[in-house]
Amino acid sequence: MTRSRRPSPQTVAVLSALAADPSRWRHGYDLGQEVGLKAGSLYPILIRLSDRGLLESSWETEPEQGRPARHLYRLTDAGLALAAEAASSTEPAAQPRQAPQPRGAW
Amino acid sequence: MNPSDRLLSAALRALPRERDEWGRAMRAELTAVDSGAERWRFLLGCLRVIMLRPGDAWTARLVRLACCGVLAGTVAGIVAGIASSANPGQKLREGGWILTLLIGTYLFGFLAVTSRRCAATTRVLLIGGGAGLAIVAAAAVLMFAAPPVPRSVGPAVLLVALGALGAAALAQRPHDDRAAALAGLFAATVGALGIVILVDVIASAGPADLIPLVVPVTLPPAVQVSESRIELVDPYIALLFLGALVSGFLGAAALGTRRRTYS
Repeated sequence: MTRSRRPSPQTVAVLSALAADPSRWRHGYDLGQEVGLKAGSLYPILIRLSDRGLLESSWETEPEQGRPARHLYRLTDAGLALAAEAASSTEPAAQPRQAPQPRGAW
Repeated sequence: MNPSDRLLSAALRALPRERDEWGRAMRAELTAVDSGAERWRFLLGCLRVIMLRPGDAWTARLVRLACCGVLAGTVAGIVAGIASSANPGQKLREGGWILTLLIGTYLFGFLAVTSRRCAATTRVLLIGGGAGLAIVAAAAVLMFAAPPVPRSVGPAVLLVALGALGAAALAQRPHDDRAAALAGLFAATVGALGIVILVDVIASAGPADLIPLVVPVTLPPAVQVSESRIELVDPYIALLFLGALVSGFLGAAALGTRRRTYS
């Protein structure tokens, strides 16, 4: 059994972005750009979601030439359930933003 | 390997073994960032992750240990004071239950906010605890820079309120009201308790010029100071009660933000 908590607005933004296309694997940097979170805010969220079994991760099987394989993320079924629950009880301000706009908290 | 890669590689050695994969993930992601300035910004974020260690309960444990240590020291000091008084049995009967209630309330707040199930993150605990210590440090600086210690508790209450608001504002960014409440209440609790301890230490062992004369001037100067040392702490007992009240709210808020369980 894993534990979670009422998600923060930043976590809801990440969940919403990942839940928008559940089958698609996402890169961390691109995800941060989409929801407007810096690495210092994004990775703690990803780590916690992963620790709670809400996020699954994988490594690129065909990385770009001369670059190491990157980590990929998508929600588990439990993560999708939490995303749906969070989306139904979250105010509009916490929805992910389309334009990159860095924020400084986790 | 460019400088940012080197720096991140070196910093990642501080990550615990179970976070190795996340360290490799951040390194790989850094190499995918093409813009130089953006690369450094990404690096700074990664360094912050490494320093604050999300999911690591050590910070909460250390904060809990420190708070309980301070409380234990406070209890020991009070008990020693009672034991050395003329009639310890009577003092204990008269004030024992109040002391137990006060210490118990502080303990409740500290244990609740540092519990594993509380929503207070490492950042919230560091902001709240740091602001609380800053409140005490600011009070000490003001007392030594402009002696004596204020006879009224008003300036201390104002300082605690300002520190708590500052902590709440810092933790609230960008828009996390729950973090703001926990950080503000934690800062106020630590600040109030810390100032009372500070005043008690000054009253017991501080230089005479820090002691405000609150007894009749007809007494010899040495007696004025020694008697004023005893009287000085009394107004600050109100701050001790205020801190306990805030700690009660802190505990309630911490319980109210407990993590829910998902299967």
